[in-house]
Amino acid sequence: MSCERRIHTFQEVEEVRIECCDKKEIESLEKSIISAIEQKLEKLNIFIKHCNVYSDGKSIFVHDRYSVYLDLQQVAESFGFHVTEVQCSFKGKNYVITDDLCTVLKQFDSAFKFGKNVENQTLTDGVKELLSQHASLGTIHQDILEMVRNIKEHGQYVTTRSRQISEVYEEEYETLSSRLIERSQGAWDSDIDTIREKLMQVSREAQNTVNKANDQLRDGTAKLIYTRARQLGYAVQEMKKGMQTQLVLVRCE
Amino acid sequence: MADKKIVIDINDKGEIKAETFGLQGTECLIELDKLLKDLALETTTMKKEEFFKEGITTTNTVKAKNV
Repeated sequence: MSCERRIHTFQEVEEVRIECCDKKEIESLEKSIISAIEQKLEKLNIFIKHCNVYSDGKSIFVHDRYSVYLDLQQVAESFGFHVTEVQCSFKGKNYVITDDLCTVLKQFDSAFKFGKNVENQTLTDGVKELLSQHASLGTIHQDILEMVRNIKEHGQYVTTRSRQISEVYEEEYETLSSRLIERSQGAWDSDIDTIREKLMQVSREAQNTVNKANDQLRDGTAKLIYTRARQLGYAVQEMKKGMQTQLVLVRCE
Repeated sequence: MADKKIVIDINDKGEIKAETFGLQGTECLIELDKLLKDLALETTTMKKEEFFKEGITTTNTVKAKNV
């Protein structure tokens, strides 16, 4: 009776879902950030309501024709916006305003259009050119973008892990039978830990961004009231009290 | 000389709480409206005792001189 040993080696591949950051969480963060941006812009718009405002979806161009909003830069920066004063052919003062939160949204593959809720002018080629020259936009990390797209597509991050398996069979020629006599398997090989760490970092950073956005909303609102109070002749004292800001306005008559 | 004082608290949820001191009658509402106009979507007003005190107003009168 003759027999032969045959070693069969193959790779086992398994699908793995990483649950530490899911689609629901990303969508909720996205919603909070959009709401914060829109609230900040709406409040800034109260201050600049007589200016011409143009938007290209990534930044806004504010044209203060009569140079009356002297505190515009300060107020906008209190809301956490980046403000660049631009010298161009338009009369008065001109500013390009962007927000870092838009970079976070882009990183989340969001199609949010910055400034569409406050624009009151149709974008011209000239303004478009100025916006592309002066807008400071953050960098998008392609690896994180791919991860976010993966989560949005599958609900959770889906990846694979693999391991090497070796099986030793004893085969008999006469009976044409085969018998498994030994099985060994290697360790799982995957990038799960690295991905989990990255996802948790993305989630933490996004949460910090949302908290920061709330602080910016509070600080910007305080600055707006401060400016109005000064215009109304009040002496103003600003104090930070834990998570809140207190303004004490006094006017002697 | 009367001091008009307004204390405004703004928290990180965007809530604004304002309290006025030394303002009487509707003057406090007018003043708060100037300061907080368009900033709040919903407002709740709690009227303090001072609100119901009458403010003193004077009008300029001109008298003709007897010649």
